[in-house]
Amino acid sequence: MAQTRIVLFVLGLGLAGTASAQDDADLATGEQVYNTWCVHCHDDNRPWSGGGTQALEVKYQGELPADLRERTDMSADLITAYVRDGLYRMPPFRLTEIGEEDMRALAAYLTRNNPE
Amino acid sequence: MAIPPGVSESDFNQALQEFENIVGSEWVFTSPEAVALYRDTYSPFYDDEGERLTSAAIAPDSSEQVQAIMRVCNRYRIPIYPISTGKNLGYGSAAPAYSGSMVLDLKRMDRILEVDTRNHTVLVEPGVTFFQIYQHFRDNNLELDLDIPDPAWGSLIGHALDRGVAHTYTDFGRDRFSTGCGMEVVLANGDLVRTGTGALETSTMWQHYRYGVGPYVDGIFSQSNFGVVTKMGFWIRPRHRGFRTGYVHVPNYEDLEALIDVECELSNSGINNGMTFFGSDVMSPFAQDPEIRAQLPSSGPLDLAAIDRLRQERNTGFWWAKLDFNAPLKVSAAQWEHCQDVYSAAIPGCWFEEEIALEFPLSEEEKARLNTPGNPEMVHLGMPSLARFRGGNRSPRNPDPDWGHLWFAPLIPKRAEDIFRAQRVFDQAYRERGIDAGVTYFARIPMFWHARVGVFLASLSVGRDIEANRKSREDFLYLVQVAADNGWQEYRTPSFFQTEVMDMTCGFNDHALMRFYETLKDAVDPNGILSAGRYGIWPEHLREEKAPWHKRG
Repeated sequence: MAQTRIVLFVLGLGLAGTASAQDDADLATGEQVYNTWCVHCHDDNRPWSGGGTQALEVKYQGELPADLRERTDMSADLITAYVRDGLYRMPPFRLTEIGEEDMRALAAYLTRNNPE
Repeated sequence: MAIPPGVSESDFNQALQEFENIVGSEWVFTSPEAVALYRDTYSPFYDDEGERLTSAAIAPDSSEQVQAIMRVCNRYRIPIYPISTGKNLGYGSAAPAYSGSMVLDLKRMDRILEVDTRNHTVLVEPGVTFFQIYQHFRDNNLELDLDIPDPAWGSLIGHALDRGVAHTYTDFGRDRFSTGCGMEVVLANGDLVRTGTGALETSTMWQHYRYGVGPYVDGIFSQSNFGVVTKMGFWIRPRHRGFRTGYVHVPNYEDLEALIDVECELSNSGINNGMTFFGSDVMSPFAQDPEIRAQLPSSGPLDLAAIDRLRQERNTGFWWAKLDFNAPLKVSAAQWEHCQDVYSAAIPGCWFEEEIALEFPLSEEEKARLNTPGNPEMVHLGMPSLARFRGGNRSPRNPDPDWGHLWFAPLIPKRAEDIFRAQRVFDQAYRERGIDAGVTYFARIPMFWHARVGVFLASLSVGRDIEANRKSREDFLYLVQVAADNGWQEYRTPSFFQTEVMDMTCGFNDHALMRFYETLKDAVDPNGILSAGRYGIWPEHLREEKAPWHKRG
């Protein structure tokens, strides 16, 4: 039976860390996952989005980019925790929606610009 | 690992092995991390006694696998609760009605099986989302559209079976279930049936004629627990050609009656063929306008003279109706002109204001203006958008967001006298319970998703404060009872309150309708394995414990 390996691979990515270690295919998959599941709220704050970017603008007050794609400080485990736990009105996303491989690719995409 | 109620550990382990043989081990979820993903994070029971939890989950990929799963569940008496995508947020999400049930997660069954571009139908599986089918139409240059609800990552089938609603025209899917045409259902006993003309093995019109021959049974698979719908057909619409909106303003409080009655004539004639919104020019800005707030009473009747003075000072109407037209502009110009003629003859002093007229495909400039003031929301055009979620998220006006919402959703007849009465009744109920209505009930008009009734939708707060959540739960049940006492029934309700709502609102002749549902349940699901408690329908072995009308004897 499926025992999720979220914690294990998250730790692994957390150590590996940076986008330069990810191959292009992983990043393309990660971008695709983002555009399928995340961008409807976490976009560039268009009026038709679900307001995730707006919420982060209010929260960060300019100290961090509100558009998650511009962030350079998030770890894979942080990203995974938000996707799997949800926060406020953002519901959790299940393994039938964002599978483990897709989750890893998504984390790779959102950490691609992290400093070495 | 959690064990479903009424199942021995050894039986459950044996069943899990058989489940793995059916779907593969990677699609049977038992670890706490994976199972926790099925919690209802919008639940007012979250982290409190009474939260509905899942013991395990299984995700099949075909109807045949669903049949095999049902047989295993029957063999070991395992309670199981199907979800399509579990995005009915505020109505229970993915969590089962009977805590401890397994979840049957149908998300992997996400195939768009057939699309008829000539007669505008689709056949889909439960995991197909609105985002997905909209994108499928665009990617394949199909001249098709459909009505899309607020959470577009939800399932067409799940939306229909929950009897959810959307925003354009009834025949385009605003009342989703009404556009269904043909189902494939795995019954709780594992049998596979196709409804309507799908019963004919050589059928050539499963998605084109919904009744077939003989009894029409599709309705019993909505808001129920008799089978797992694994395929469903829908009537959709040809591509949008044009969209127009116009406002009708009326000057007096009592004009609401004619404003609604004329709209009924127009919309029931198919002339005004969008979803009409009603509001108050003078009272709708209540929340932002202290002067208006001051004119509304803390209890008792409205001071209509004072409000009317305010209306005259501001040179506004008292009520408005926003009429939507889904048609090429040349056609909708005539529709709108006719509506103005009828209103002018019926209501002295009314006036009109055209908001917008759009031809499709929209230009990039027009698209960029959607969801901004004075322009339509994307969902009103049948375009997917989650913008409705912005309201509860953190924003400059809402620095402390909540974690969900609990929908109180009573139906009110589409008549001014009923609406005025509902305004008074709910205003009083909110005050009695100390609920912050946000906008006064005197300014609120039901949402007319359905043709002949409105939904007086109200969201009760859900957060992570257990005491506050308990109050929301008590408030919810109080409001449902107040509505029932006044002849108003919920159109849909969260899974964790379905038994209470059915008890309060289906009592005619000693709950005869519930007893009929139970008769059906016992016939089609004798072991009581499927979605126990969904919409208050409990299997025989749980009835005395769970169903109040049985507990009371």
